[in-house]
Amino acid sequence: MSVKTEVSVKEFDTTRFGRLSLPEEAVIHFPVALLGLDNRHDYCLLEHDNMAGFYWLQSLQDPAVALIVTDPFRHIPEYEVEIPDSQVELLRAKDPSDLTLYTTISMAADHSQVCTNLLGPLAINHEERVGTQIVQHGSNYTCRHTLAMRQPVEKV
Amino acid sequence: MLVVARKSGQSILIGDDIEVVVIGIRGDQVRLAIKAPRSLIIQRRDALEEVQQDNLAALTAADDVFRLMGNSTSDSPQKTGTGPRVVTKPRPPSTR
Repeated sequence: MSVKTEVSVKEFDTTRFGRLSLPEEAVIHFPVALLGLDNRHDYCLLEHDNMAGFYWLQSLQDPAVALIVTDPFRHIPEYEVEIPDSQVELLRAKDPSDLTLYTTISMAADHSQVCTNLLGPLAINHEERVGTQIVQHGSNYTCRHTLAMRQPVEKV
Repeated sequence: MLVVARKSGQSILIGDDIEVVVIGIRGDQVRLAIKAPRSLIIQRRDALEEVQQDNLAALTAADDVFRLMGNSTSDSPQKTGTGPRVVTKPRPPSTR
């Protein structure tokens, strides 16, 4: 019997960043796929220059699937998320502090601002490397909450 | 399928432990209170559809959002050596 000492490394292709490799412990498993993104269950978080506070959530199974996510509390301190017991169990969280919340980013209609999805936040237990999307059925939040972005000011 | 008319305050029972109460009617909107075991998942179909659509919108918009932040997706590790870094555990939220 041989004992493996080196860290297990996973290699995968991405359309945006080419071939990437990462340690096995950076893989986040989504047992229930994100809505509309069936069959993509493994992701990793990537950060990039000029993206402070934002991350790429990159699929390991589909090179083209990557979403930009953020920590919503950086932008909306009063944001509230309800996590049903069944989801707490799925995420193997013993305490709320085990979970990190993210919301996805998309483009606002006028294409000069971005908005974030407060209706369907993602919760990740980084310790257990498991995540899920938790639709806030009891809330009035929308998918298109505009985020103020620091923009170069154009004077007319 | 059962179709049944209810007045405000009336309810229906589903099985042994689910009760749906009409708690208010206003214009074309009905307010329902659903009493059910916590283990039962109650979902709004419109919310699921909205989130599904938005996930796909976020997917489509990702490159535009990235560019809006002043990046270029051609900054791949092979080309610049300053590509994306893998995050295993994000820093705690900044307190600014």
